[in-house]
Amino acid sequence: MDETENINVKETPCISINSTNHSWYDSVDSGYVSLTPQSGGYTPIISGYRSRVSYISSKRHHRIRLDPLQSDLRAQRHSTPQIISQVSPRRKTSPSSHIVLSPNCVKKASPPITSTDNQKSSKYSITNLATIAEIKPKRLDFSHCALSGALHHIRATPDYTGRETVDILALLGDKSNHWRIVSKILSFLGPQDLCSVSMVSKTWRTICMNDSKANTRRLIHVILRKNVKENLKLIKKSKMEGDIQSSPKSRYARKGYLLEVQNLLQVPGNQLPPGSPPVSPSKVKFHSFVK
Amino acid sequence: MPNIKLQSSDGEVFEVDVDIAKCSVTIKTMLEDLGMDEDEEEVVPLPNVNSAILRKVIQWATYHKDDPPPPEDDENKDKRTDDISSWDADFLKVDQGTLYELILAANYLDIKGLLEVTCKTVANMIKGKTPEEVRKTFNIKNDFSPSEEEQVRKENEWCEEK
Repeated sequence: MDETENINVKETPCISINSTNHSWYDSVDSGYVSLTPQSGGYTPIISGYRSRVSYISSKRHHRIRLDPLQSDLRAQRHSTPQIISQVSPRRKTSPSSHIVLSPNCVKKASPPITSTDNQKSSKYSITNLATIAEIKPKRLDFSHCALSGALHHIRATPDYTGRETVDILALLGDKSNHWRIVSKILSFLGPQDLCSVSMVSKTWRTICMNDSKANTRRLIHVILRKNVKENLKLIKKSKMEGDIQSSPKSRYARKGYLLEVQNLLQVPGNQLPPGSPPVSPSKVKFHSFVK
Repeated sequence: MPNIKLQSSDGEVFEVDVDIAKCSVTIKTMLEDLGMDEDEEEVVPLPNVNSAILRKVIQWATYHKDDPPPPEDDENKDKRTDDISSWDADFLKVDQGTLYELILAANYLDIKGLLEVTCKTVANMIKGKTPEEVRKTFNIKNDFSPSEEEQVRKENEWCEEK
């Protein structure tokens, strides 16, 4: 409460009204009603003030339908010209009336201000004003020294010079957003290396995944390797089988196909060379295998 | 030969030949856009580069000042990393922190050749290594949980040599 009171005394009353205006429409309403007749005593200075209050309250009816954030913004936007137009005449005419007036406003506005929300918002608006006042002279100062002096201290990342080891990809990617450099480095790596990169750590994995080109290359490699290895396995397997089964016919036989017709298949082979033994050596092998 | 003064982030001023400084496209564009008076005592501040790195960069640029401009990036060209000249290889025998800063400086100053060779050096540090060896090289902690590691391993199982 102390803070807001101080603020209200220092600043123009319209700020306090505006800040209270941000929320608690109902309670503020009563504040306004009581405020207007009281301040009516200071008619010469306050006439503008009074009309503004009614202006705000009439505005408020429209604003209620808007979402609070938007209305906040609007209220603040409205407030700026009002501050300017009102501050100057009052300071010229009588500073005493200003002092008398402000506690009035505070009293009337105090119930809504007690909420933390309003304290925040009033603080916010004040600090805003304060910073604006601070920045202005800085902006005008374009002298070379000030500029380079300010630049010296702006560096997004700490200095890593002299460090024996650094997580270089994470620093370039995650920490400083140099994705172009990261993809450049990845582009120099083979697909096999990309697989390794993706297995180093979570960060490296994300980096590898996020670089679409590198990731595509890696995935193609994975698929190729998979196919090659599976084929190799198949070939190995079939080779091992090949030792036992020499002919496709016998392979069918082993799998159970064509068992019925096996005799038929054998018939022409046996018939052509009449002098041949009834069972070929490979068949002997086969029969022993089946048994 | 006209000279130009470059000031590092820690305030050290380096006086270099304009031709050498123009290795950096950033400086070159700046000079072309702003114009340069012969006798101007203007100092160019480089707030992103410290004196140790700027010294290295100038050393590199001085050695490579007569190089032809590097060819444009060819997406389809096979990327080689074994074509680093011995001078560059020697020049880049530095700790990883310096290498990282050199990459940043090359990027900021837009020195294509230096960026290329530093990136290749990093790639060479990764090449042909197992994940564990890469972790060891860069002192990276394996932060996969056992289940994640299993998943990652499964995804890459076909890549394992054998």
